Amino acid sequence: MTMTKLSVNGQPREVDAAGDTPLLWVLREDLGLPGTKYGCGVGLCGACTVHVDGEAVRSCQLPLSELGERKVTTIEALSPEGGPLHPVQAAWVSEQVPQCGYCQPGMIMAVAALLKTTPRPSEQQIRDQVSNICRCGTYPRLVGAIAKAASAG
Amino acid sequence: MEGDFANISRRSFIGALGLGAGALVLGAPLGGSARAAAGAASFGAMLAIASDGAVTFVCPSSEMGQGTQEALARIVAEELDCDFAHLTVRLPWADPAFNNPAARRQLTANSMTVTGYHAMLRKAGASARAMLVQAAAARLSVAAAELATADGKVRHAASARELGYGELAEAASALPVPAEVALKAPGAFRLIGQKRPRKDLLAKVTGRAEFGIDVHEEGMLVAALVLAPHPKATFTPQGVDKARAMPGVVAVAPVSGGLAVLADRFWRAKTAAEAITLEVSASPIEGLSNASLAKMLGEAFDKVPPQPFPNIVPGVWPPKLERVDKAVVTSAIGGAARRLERAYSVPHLAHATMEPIVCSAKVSPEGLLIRGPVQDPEASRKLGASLAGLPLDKVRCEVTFLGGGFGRKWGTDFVGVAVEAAKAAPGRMVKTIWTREQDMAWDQFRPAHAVRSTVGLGANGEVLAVHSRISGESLMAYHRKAPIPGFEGLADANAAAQLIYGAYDFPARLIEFHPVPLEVPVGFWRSVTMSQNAFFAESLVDEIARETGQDPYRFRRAHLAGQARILAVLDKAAAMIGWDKPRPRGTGRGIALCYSESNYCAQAAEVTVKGKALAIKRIACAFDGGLMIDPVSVEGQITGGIVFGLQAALWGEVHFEGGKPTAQNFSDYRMPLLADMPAIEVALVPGSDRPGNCGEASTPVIAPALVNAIADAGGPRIRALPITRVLTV
Repeated sequence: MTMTKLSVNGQPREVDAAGDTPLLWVLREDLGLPGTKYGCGVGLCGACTVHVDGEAVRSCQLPLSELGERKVTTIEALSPEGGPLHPVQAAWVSEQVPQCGYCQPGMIMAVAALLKTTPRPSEQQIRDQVSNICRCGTYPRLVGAIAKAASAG
Repeated sequence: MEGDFANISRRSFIGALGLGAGALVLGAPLGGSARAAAGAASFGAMLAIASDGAVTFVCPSSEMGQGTQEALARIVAEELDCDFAHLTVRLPWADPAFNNPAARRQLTANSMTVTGYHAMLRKAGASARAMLVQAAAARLSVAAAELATADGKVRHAASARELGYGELAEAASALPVPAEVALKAPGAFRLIGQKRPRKDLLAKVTGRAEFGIDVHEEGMLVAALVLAPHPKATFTPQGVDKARAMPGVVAVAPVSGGLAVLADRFWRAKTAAEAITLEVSASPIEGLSNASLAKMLGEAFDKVPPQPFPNIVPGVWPPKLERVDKAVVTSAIGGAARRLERAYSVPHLAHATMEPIVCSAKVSPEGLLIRGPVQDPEASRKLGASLAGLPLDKVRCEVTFLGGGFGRKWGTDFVGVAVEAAKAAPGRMVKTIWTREQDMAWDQFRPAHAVRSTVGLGANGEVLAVHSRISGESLMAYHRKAPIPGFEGLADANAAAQLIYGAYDFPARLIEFHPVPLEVPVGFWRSVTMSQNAFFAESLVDEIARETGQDPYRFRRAHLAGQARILAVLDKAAAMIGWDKPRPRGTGRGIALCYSESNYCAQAAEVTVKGKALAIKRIACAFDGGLMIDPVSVEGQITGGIVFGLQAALWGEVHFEGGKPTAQNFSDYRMPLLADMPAIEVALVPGSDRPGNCGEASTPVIAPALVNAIADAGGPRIRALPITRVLTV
């Protein structure tokens, strides 16, 4: 048994998983955080996006062995439990972005990271930098929702 | 597990009272996962009111993003007059009490959830309200007519007294169900038609919504699959012993078309599954390739006897069919001054739901429990019973949120695989997760089709007759299903219906189908028949107009006399795109439409074509879906449906080589991204006070609107999808 230590949502955690296990599956199955979704397994769709040291990372492409001491934040901890929603989540509700909702945790994590580095993104910046796939086709509501989140943030 | 099979007692209750499925049933407990809080009074299979006034509504349909959970909750709450903020919606399980009255079964498909349940749920909400009022009248010793309801309270204005629904629920549920109840007038609606956020959004933005892939139970196992190239292929596995000895592996079990590797974690199961190879000895699609597929579809026009499809009289429900005298059509075409011959084709398409195929099952002494993202819980339950060798009353099927459905999760193949895997580990929940690659390769594809159309034109270019023939695989034949009643001996409607629109007043028309038994797994894909036939029908109409020197929009108008709702959306879409404004060189506008018995959709596109480079400038859509319960969700279905159709029009194509589909992942099945989005403008123009189908209406229209615009811009006439075979975007 090889235990690996990691920091997730502000908590020190330990897991018994092979080093090549993608962070995605460690979060979902070893740490009980199923909000991060599996969509493609090859880093194309972004459903598995989490924050690693504040940056958006596709967790299906990050093996456990490469995480090190970096701090992971998942959708479950984007806003405090019982507290107000993160501005991106709040905008997602008020602008009614989600349909099936499966890709949305990853989409929200990607947008939240974008707004951290670019608090007032232009429409072109949004179009260029949000590359998550949504099969329901919620794209037309994204730009407005991101603008709303940006003005609230 | 106690209570997991409790719905049986409620069913016997329904029978004892002689009430139809879904009717108000008094005093019967809500079963299983949707059990209401202790002390809650039940108002039928779907509705319970607790003593604190909290309302629980079990939504009978599967929620896959289309928003029917919100719509149905609003419908029942509108008439109940409860406090909507204190209404909780629960996901359903397989139960005849949840049957859709329009389908007489529990199935979320064909965009018929709101249309099917609307009347029944209005009545259910109004009946429960009437019973609460009756209970309040007795409690306050006043006449029921003196009482009013709002926000979960019954109020007696004259004495300024009021009682909460929670205080009245138990007494009310013991009263007889009224035979007749008055429904609210539309002017009194407080929820229906309002723009307010859906109830399911909070769970979806916080990661708390339980999708099929999130099913969890202590001690559960996860299965990864090794799949042959076809569900019915035969094979010899190699490496099973090696896989069995790998970390975390509990069992390797045979499932339909492959093996399931059960482990304590998915990554361990997948790693072990990759140690197994299958030596395939026979497959129903052995050697199939793009080239052989195209050859078979083409040769079918000469080699396979055609099956006729009747004309469908427009605007009539249920459909009225008119048999066509083939001799009338062939003689009209034979005597025509001019003939127009056109050939079109579309490829196989994948559903590619964002949630790859997944399902969980558990075999235990109590019976079989299935939990998963299914569109057809009833068929899933029956299949589970048959595979587990159990009577139906020992099988429970619970529906989770679906991470997209689009028809793929109407299929039950993956439910069967999950039950087969679970049988290898009795007493433990087993979640079978398909990889994206397996989801793509083992899809039940939208079938490929080829079309040959002949139009007979008179001396002045007038249409005398249209004869369109379609070849391809029959969905009904692949699934070994009997024809829809009334369609016996006729072509499969899924291939042939509306190949020539019944709404156009052409003097003579004939639709024929040349079925090709390919045995490629095929299934229902968002908008089904229309996913191909809107492209075929509306491309041909456009070509007729252009070949005879007529404006394609006005040509359509001229042949749609009396079709008020179609004309309204057509005119609106034309106005939105600025149809008559001058077109700069290289710019083109195209228009197309689609309709069913309760929805009408027209789209217009503006594009530029420079050499091989296509740019989509604008898409305008006018949609009439009748009464909209939740207009923001309807608008989302229409724009999302356009994006779904845009993917198919521009890139959608499943290739076959060496007897299997070559699509592996999103790298070779291109999805649109935010950066690809053209401006999409939607106008909602309801033309009826009855709800219509909204989930599929917009998907099929964008392909013909685009190819018509490309031709208008001076680009090539594209008769084979996808468009990027010819142009770049």
